[in-house]
Amino acid sequence: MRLVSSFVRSDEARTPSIFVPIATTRGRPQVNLRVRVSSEVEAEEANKNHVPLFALTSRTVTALGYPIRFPTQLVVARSVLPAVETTLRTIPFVSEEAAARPRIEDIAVALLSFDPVVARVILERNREDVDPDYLLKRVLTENVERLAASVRFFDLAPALPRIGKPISTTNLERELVKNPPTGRLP
Amino acid sequence: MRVEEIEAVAEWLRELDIQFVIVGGSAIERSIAVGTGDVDVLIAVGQWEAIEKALENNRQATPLEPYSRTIRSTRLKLGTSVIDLEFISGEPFAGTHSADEFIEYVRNYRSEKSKGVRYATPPVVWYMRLSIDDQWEQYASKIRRDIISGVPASTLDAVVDIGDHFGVGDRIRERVGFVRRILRLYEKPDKV
Repeated sequence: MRLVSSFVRSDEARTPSIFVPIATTRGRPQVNLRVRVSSEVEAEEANKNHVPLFALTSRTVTALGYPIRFPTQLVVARSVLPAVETTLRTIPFVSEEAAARPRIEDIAVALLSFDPVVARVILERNREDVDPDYLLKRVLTENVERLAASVRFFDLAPALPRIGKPISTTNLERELVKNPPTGRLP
Repeated sequence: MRVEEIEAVAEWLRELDIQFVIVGGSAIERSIAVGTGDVDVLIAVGQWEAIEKALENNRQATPLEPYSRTIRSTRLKLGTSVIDLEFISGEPFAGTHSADEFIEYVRNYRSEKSKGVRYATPPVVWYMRLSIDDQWEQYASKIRRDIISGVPASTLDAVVDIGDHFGVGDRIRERVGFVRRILRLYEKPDKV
């Protein structure tokens, strides 16, 4: 037994080119589609077409206050992951809502999977906008409590469990002041 | 940045016979408090020499720092205030036009005069931020800061218009789209 996931056309007059038919046996109509995403632009197009995914890019993280360069990653709702063809590294999200309409807390949760310190710095540099309740919910939903605790997300969402050995406050403070934004024009 | 400090800078520049437009956060500061810390001055390319000469022997000013050929800064004491001053010429913003056409365009169509000082309007400020090729993403947060302070988000539409005027509409449109996506990251659903 295996789970099969695909998209079907709705009422749109034209199917966007990112949707590609899944091969069927000869003579059968091609009604099932997959989404093919290999760039930020295609991810945006898929998102606009209600596919719960988004591109996590270095320019997004830079815009949130941490200048950085890394290969674009694709955050995809786990429910549609089998129907997504991509050459990008994927980060599965349990929450379809978060993959469809990400908030800064979701960016931080996605970043936990490959750079927890940057995830924490992003939250710190946007601290006034972080919703502790939403952050708590997102960490628990994605089951990343240990990673979140490793960079002291509980400082921002005190209800988060303190498990494992977190980074020391001294080391964290050192990380928080590294690599500030450098824009010249105010 | 206090308005009096901007006016002091304007007075100093007028004495040097330099035509200019106040840009950057200090231009927005004129109508909405956004908490900017310095004064940004858009000048014509041909006026770099006059600026350099004026600062060269000015013991109240630090040497002009060459961040780039088109954006350079100094710290200048005027009266009792020490002011961080940034001079900018139009090359990075002029697209397919000449650098000085940018300042002419801003002077003629995208600025307002107040107490003898010409200030760029918010669309110009945001357009300039989104035109700095290697750093434009970093300005998304400052655009957001301006919106929180009261600049309408619809100003982004006029930014695209300026990009179209200078033949870089596609690039600016893409960057404005990116800024809109960043703004959405901060949106919170209404709690029931």
